[in-house]
Amino acid sequence: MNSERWRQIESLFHEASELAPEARAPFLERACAGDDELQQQVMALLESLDEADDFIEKSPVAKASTQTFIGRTIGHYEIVSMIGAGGMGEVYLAKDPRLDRPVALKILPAQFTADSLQVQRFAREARAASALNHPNIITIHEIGQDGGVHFIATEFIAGETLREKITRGGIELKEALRIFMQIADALSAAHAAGIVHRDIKPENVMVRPDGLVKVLDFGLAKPVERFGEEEKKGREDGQTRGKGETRRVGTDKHNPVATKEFEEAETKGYGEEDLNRTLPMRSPHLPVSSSPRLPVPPSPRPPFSLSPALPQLTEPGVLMGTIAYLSPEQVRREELDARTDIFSFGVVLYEVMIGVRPFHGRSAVEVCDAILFHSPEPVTKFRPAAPAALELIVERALKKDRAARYQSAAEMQADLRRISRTLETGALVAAQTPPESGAKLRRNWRWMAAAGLPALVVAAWLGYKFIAGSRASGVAAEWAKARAVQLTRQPGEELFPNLAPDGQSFLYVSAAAGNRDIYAQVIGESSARNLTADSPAHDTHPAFSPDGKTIAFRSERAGGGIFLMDANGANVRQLADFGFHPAWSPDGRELLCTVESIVTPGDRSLAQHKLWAIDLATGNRRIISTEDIAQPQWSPRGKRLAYWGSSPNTNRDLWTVTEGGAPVAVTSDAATDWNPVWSPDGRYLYFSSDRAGHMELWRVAIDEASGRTSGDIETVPAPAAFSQQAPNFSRDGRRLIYTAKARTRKNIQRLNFDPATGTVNGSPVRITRDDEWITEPHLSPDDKWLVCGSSDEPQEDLFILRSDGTGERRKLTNDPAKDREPNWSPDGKQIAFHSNQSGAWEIWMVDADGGNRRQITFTGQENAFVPFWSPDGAQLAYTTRRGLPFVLDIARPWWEQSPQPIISPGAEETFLAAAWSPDGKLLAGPWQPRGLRSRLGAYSFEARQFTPLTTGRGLFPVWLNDNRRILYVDAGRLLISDPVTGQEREVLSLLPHRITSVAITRDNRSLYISVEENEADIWLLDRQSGF
Amino acid sequence: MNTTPSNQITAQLAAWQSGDAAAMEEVIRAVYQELRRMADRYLRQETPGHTLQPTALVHEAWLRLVKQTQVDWQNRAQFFGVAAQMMRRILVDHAKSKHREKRGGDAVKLLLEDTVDVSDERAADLVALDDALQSLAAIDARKCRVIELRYFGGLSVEETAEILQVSPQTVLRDWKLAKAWLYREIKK
Repeated sequence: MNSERWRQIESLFHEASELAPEARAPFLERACAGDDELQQQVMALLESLDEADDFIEKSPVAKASTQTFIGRTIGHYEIVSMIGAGGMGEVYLAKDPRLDRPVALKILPAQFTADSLQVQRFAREARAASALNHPNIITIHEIGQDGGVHFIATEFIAGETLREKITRGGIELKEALRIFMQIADALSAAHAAGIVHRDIKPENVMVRPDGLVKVLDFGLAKPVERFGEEEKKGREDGQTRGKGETRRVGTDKHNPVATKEFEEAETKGYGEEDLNRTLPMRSPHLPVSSSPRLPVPPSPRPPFSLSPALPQLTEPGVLMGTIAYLSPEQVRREELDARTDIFSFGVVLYEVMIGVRPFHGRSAVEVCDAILFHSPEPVTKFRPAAPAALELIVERALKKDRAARYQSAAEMQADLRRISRTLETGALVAAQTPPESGAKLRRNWRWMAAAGLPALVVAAWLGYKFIAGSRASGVAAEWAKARAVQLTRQPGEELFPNLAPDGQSFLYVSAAAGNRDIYAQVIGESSARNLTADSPAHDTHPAFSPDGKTIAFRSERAGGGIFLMDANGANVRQLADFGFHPAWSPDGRELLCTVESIVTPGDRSLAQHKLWAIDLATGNRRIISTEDIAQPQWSPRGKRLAYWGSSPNTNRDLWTVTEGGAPVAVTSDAATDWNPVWSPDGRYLYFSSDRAGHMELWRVAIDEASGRTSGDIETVPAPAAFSQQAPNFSRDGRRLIYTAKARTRKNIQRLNFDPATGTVNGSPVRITRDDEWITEPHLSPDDKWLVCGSSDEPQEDLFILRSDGTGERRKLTNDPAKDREPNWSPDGKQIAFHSNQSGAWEIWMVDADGGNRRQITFTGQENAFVPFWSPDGAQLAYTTRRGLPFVLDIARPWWEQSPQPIISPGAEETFLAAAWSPDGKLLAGPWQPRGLRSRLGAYSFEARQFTPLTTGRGLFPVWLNDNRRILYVDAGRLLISDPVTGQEREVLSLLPHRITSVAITRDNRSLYISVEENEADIWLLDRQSGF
Repeated sequence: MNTTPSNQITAQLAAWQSGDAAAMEEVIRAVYQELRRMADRYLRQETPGHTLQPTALVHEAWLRLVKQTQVDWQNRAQFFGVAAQMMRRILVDHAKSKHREKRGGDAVKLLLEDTVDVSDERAADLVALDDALQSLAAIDARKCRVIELRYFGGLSVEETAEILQVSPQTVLRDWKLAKAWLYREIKK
């Protein structure tokens, strides 16, 4: 459209819009003088003006701009900044100059003060709360009005909300109890004064750094007796009292949320809602009630509204309170008393304990339904180590029938205090049920025991080391005097040890001969025999049969599967054409196997899990379970099997299960627990866990029949190593074998490379020392410098060193975050990398001199990884968590940069862009096309499609200058692929040391590789006599 | 490297006020980082049930800068003008990623959270608005700025007028036409 035309349209549009609707068409008819197109365009704009209504008018932005009190003085309070806003007004941080102290100033938005009902409610809130004088209830300084602005000044609390604490996670039981008891105290004081809070939720509880809890916002509180009167009156009226009354929810008890109004509110009521639910600006501040006027679930939403919104005031008679915390009587809109707070408090307790709310659903209707009719999942299902008594307190607080609930907060507080005291003395909670709750609790306890729920150990929350250290440990007595013997000393890793039943010899796996083989060694001798030397395929996961005569193992030969051989390596035969980690049944008749190979606890895919049992005599097989089961082990009498797996809210945990039964949790905590194995007497489950820092051996007493654990989780004293794993026993239980892993080391080596032949020549030159952890070198454009990552766990930083390894190193970053994958810009001036320092993985940039560090991407939950530059330095590519690659115009001014995806977001393929071809036309990286295995692929900007670069997996691709061949690493080896000839071959292997990345100089004559040296040896704890 | 960030900003501000364009970019970059960081925290939904209020953020960023630097910003309007642009980008970027995320879908998370999520639709709305604004800018850049300043920056008519060096009446007229035009463009 040319500008002349646009001006015509504009002018006619404004003229016509001033006219009455019916006068517009004739006016335009005349004014356009036969220019139909012009007339049509202006008419269309006029129509959309009418239709547009409040489109973009009622944006949160516009609304907020009218409410800025910042910088003003209200009363005598100088307003400094906004803390947040809720349904009952806005809250500002303000200064009280008379006493020179900070206050929180809650202000009723000016445009609503015309509403006398609102003003009344506001004042009532203040009066109700100011009548309370209690250390756990926020102090009201003043209720006032200044030039029509109504406000309440309260003490300013520096701290965080319980919501923030829950979100951050990791509230320990002791701390949780301290918070609970103070909330109970606050409620009990308020209830005694006849005031019901009615809106107890984590947002309304502040926790100061010193642990003091303040319950906030008695915004919904009303003197109980008055409320009752109002309610009764309201019901007797039965007539519409105002707009709010028509939106009554749940007049029908059995179908409480089915009114038309409710549904309308659900579908329409979000826009304005959001505007009223703005957050505290900074975390350590006073939060605000965000009491919605309708039972809309708290839901994060974008901060704008393009749709018409409902009136926003909380009106009398309308259900208030955040929906997930409502009591059944609130949902039913019944008369309320103090017991509604008990219920909401119960919801908070539940959420704090397991991080999930007891009542959920996908809509407000479903949540209400759950509150009214569903029993929440027991806390112990998610957190088996939670004290039984606490579970019972929650259960009682959440009774639908309020007569069955705690009748007072004081009563509840007494029970909480009892648990707390028990914890302080270190005794087991399970052993002491609250006496006051008497027979009922004991009944429950028996019921829970009968149902096979695990023993109630507080250890998970208390920190195991504390318990292990403070109590006389049975393990210490048993194993303290055991001899610790290092059985293998070869370079590289010896893994998967398996002790013969007689304890006189053992098996292990090593890749010393180039591929993984199974070795047998007699204890007391230093040399081992390779049992699978004749097999070029990997052989691993060996397991002696109970009689010690047969070895089951996984082999990649013949397409892969479970194999058997005699104890001397002879007579190899295939049992199954699939499976990993074979485990014998105690009678030696069956083998269990899973469908996934595990080396580290991180090796869990989302693939379907299957646990198979194979009959050795018949070869018949059956699926025992499709749970997420890794490395199963039968108990000695074959009653249960123990295994580990991943659980959604924690980490790696242990379970036991019977065939066809329900799994019983052994651990449920943030630690990584894996490698469970039964002691031969069946009394203990031993396992590896990082609960005290490094991966170490632990055990817990367990009942083989029920799977119930008892007592504390105890540490097994064994010589320190960075990581201890894969324990198992001799038949008599007096010898315990395990792997001790050293910390992984990585160094950088340089190689001469011949680009014509694609081969290396000469021997590698060490650029960095052996004992460091230096990774993924990337060259400066002039090849004179390397930028690398180093680790000082948990911190990972970047530094620069000369590419010949001489001279000093210069740190580029030094912060607690992990900074990884540095990549030098083609002009040599800056280095892009990814880092988690903003709390999420994002792309960052730093100048080559270490200055001007800045964040480049802001993807939030998407995360961004592995940045690298286009050859011309104009663009930067990176990839998100879900394997969506983006390209950013990094050369443009930063405010014009807009990341562009190179795969359409809906595509069912992933690509981790990792290298730009020298001619700028192609990207290379791990590529997983839909339904196919991962491989290296190239994305062509011209063709806008992918072509495969390799047939198998690969990482760290590097283009050669011919823009065709790539170097890459896979399974610890350096390979080269020529997609044109289809040739893929190994360039270099330093196994058992693994090559983990490669960089190449401009002239393609030198390579820099990162070499990982893993060291793991087999150790024995020995309580047998003599060898 | 000894200078603290706020010292740097002070120096840059001084440079800016004496007319150094590069210094201004640095100041804006600093403000943007801050704005983005704050916005990001909200948009990451660390605090469910609440949402971002762009204007409050912009005001807070402004306040912090003024406080930090102890400099009397004469060019307040200019600051807010730029901040509006920043806000637009932050929100639209977020909406885009939101949109993608929903399509990727995390069913488990949805089941766990008692939410009714209509944000996907809204995210699409904002992206559509952004697209339409780009088209509008090609026809009439000032009208696009008016929308940006008022909708994304939360500025009043008077403030908008000051920044664009036009009368408030012109802002109102621009707003009216732009609104009609955008609405039509989005409904197309």
